[in-house]
Amino acid sequence: MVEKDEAKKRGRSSSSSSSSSSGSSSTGSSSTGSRSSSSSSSSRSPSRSPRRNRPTRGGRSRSPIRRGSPPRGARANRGTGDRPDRRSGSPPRRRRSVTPPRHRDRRDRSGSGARRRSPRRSSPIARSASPAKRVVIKNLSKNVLKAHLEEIFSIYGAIKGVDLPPDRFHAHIHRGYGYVDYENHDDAEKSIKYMNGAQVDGLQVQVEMTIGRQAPAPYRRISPIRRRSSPPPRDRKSPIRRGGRSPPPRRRSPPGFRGSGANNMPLGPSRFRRGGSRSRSPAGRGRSRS
Amino acid sequence: MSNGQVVSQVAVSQDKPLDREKLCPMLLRVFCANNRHNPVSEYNNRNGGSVPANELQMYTWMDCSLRELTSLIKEVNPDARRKGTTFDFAIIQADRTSTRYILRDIGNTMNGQRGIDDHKTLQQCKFEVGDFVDVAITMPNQQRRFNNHGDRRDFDRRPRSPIR
Repeated sequence: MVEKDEAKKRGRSSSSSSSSSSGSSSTGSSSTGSRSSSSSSSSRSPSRSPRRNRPTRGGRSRSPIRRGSPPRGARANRGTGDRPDRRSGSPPRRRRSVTPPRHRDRRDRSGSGARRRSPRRSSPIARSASPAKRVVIKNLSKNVLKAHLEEIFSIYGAIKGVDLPPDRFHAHIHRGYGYVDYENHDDAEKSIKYMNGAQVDGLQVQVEMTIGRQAPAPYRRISPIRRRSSPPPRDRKSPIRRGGRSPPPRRRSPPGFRGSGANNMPLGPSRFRRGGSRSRSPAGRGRSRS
Repeated sequence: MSNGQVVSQVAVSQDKPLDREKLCPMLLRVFCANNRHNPVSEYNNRNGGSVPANELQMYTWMDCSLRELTSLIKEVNPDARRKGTTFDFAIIQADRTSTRYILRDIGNTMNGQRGIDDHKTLQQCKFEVGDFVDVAITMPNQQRRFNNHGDRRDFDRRPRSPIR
């Protein structure tokens, strides 16, 4: 449900009576049509206000209160507990020298990350959608759920799916951005027109078309240049140098396979971001060295 | 003109003046407990993000002060209206680098007495929309128990300096 009570006064949101009712109705003054009593979303929902044609009403300022624990129903069910732990299988290797297990360890860790990334989390949406029908919504608050996005953005046309990538550590929290796939390109344009700069849950969101696959290309150039321009100091103590014996292996495999790094933050299609290549790269190094 | 005057170069971002008529409110989830904060372990990622049971949901703005929050809590919580009741506020945030949640104290207020934290706003406390607020409500005749997390041992020694 969409709560649309704005408060009118600047000052403290006055404590008015009778707002403690546990209902989910917007107790604000004359909420113009609590539109679309959503069946899907849970009972708490961020308030939203489309940017255009917002009614400006006079009234008291207030902060309505609702009570009760909502069913956190509509939620992407990405489980947390079932991450495969590769390391548990292999007993600690004692017989080898000190360093190789460390490498191996590191590779394993990133390997499990890669596996976690692979089939389950890449939604079918990401694969099939052509970019032109896909919009990205940035600056979402943590209160916004997938169902909220569905509800808000289905106003502008039929949507094929919503993607709200989860946080790295908190599976039920998203990263602050989400994607909506429309059936038609025009609907996507319309949603951008109306929702870009609008407020969702007290935050102004940006809605844009997603940029295509070729976008992260210029980023890639940076790292070889930077490395060449700063030669490593020669007077290092030996053990470190021995470890870094090989610059050539460091030069990582074909640039085309390196996804945009984690620095390239929220924008591109989500499959670029997943997992991030940062965790992958040590694996490549370890492999090429051994 | 500013010669004789020391101006901090490390400008703490002051609250942008926030127009409550233009900006729509945000959802604020408040969890109250008596005499203590809810244990941080009750905020976790299990079953899709579980939280303590007693939840208050408010719609408010980032420039909401602690005093204002207090009055909102008192509105729904008649027990907390007695004079001398203390409200300890903390922000619960999801840690960015681990799967835990973090409790961060931001201040306290007391019924019928002005305090230093009264006009602290959520914005000043680096609240982000979607964080939780945990409130420990202590009645005047009871004693605050902050045992469940260790850094609060010095709490009762902290002066509740009334302002002015």
